[in-house]
Amino acid sequence: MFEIKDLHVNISEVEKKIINGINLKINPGEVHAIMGPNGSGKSTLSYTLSGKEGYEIEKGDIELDGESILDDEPDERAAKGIFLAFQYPIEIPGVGNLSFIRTALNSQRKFNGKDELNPAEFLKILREKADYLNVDMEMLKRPLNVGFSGGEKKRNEILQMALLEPRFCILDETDSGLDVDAMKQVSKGVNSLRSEDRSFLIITHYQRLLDYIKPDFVHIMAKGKIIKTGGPELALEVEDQGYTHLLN
Amino acid sequence: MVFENKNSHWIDPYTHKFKESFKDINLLDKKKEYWRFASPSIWYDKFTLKKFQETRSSQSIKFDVTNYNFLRFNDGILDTETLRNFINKNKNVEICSFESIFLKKDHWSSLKFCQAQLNAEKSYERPLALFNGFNAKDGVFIKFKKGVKKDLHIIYEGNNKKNCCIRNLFDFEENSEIKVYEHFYGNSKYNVVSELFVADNSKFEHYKIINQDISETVIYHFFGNCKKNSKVKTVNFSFTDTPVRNEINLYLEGTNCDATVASMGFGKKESSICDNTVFISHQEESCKSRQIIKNALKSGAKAIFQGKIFVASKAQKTDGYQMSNGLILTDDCEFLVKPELEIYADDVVCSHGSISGTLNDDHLFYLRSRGIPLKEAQKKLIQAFFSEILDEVSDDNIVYYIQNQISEILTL
Ligand SMILES: Nc1ncnc2c1ncn2[C@@H]1O[C@H](COP(=O)(O)OP(=O)(O)O)[C@@H](O)[C@H]1O
Ligand SMILES: [Mg+2]
Repeated sequence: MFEIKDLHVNISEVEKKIINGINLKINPGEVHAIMGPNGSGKSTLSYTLSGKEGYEIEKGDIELDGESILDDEPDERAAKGIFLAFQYPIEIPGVGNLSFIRTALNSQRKFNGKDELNPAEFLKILREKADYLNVDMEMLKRPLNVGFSGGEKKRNEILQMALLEPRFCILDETDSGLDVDAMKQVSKGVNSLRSEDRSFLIITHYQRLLDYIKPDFVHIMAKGKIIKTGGPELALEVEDQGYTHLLN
Repeated sequence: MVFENKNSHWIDPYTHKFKESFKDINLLDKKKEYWRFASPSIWYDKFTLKKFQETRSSQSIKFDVTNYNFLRFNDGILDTETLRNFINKNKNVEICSFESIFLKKDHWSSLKFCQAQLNAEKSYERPLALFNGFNAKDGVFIKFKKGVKKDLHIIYEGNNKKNCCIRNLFDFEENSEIKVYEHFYGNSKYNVVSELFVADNSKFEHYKIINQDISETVIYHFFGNCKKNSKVKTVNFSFTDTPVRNEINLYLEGTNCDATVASMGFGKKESSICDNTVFISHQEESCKSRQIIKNALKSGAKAIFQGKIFVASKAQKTDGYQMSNGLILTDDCEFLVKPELEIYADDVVCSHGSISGTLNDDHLFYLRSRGIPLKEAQKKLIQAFFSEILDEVSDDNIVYYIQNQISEILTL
């Protein structure tokens, strides 16, 4: 179980308080969606959960199975099963996609006391998943995200997620910049990963993604707080009427 | 000394000239052009002093040359057995040691000798190349005949703490395709001058690896005259903790030449200086040149890049490019850069830039967010920083070798 308790976050660089007391409990198997206007702190929340530097926790806690992960480095959190699909996956020239994913997978396996995969074993698994997600193997031979289209970058995120098999997946606006076909593909990938012991936090700006990935709960976030929680119907309401009526 | 035993040889006037010019130079002049960041005395004093480093850094794993053509210098002296082997195995190549030139009244090299160095002297004074001119004891003079394709490895090694002054000459006839790899190991000091003459349509690739276990100074001058449609690439790898100066002068005297100078330096101690001083002279039309310099620096290491693209008025349609990058891993390091363009033609594309910085935090976070621990992520990004230089290397065995050298340094 993943739990956020009364979380308050400051962005140290600008000394600006962005998250103002968030409480959220996510049980295994559940899919939660967070919607909210631009600038409400959704990405800040996702970075904070994955342990990015510069996000100072003023108050509150983040717990995985009842244990705080606040002292864990980003790589330790990842190895414990937290995965963030970035809103803007960055390009890293000179780092090969394949060797990056293999290093990531093996680092996590090592952390969890499992044997590392050799290149052949790794390639076999990679091929399977890439096939399923319609990711071109040729593309994976290139440097990480370099020259990838917006859709390719997002699919690469989902591919990494599929390979790393995290327990808690955060998807930050994975749908933004995607056309309908690309969105369907990404959703298919996400849906295939849904399982009893894996939970999701899906951050989105638009309701349409939730047509493909059905959430159990929908939260509306504004000014660093969750201001309303409901079922999928809440997303439709937002789609219909916008956020303004909820903000007042 | 070799020169003094022989009476009047065609080489004597050169030797004399070098000696005289050297006398006039004040090595301590701090304002000397291209020596402001590092004084020539660093290389001169250290070279001429009898004192040697007591402590030696770890012994490098050597590149395995068994399946290649190779020549070996032991503490600066050419191993004649490797020379004989090379001669037996290779047709269409004329080769002899520098020393044996003095035994011959005429030699093909007499028409070329010093010509590339003299072109280089036109741009600015090169005191340590002058010094080499009257102190060199050995070296190889090689002529690759028309159309020859060959790889050659030259190993400089030895652990007897010698001052090695080496002079090489490479002559490439038309349409030849040659790759020369030079490997430096051991505890001797080096002052090397290599002149090259690249004839029409020839391709020459040159790789030089100054390995980690080099415990003394190295200064290497690489002077090239390039004729039309020739392609020259010289790539330097520097992993030592000592001062290394790499002086390159490429004189593009034919049309359509293509020149690349690349360097990878990894300095990890205060005593480490990686200095690339590069001068590319475009004399004729439609030549292309690229300079790519990358230095990763930590614990007080220093790197220097002085790079000039010179374009003569005749050299229209020149395409010149220069980029230097410093990766500053600890803030006590310096990457000193002096990029220059001197252009007398009007139809020219030249660009240059220099960017230095630390490891990118967002890149680090991305890698770590996938479970890669900090150290490992840093390693990956440092390897990535150098990847552009490795892309220049055509032999995969060398690529693996260099990658391993970098990993080894990263695990220190
Ligand atoms: N690194 C930063 N420096 C300064 N302000 C930031 C930084 N990151 C985010 N912010 C600010 O924090 C607020 C929330 O941003 P963000 O979390 O990206 O919102 P959302 O993802 O909901 O659009 C915005 O006002 C934004 O300008
Ligand atoms: Mg956002």
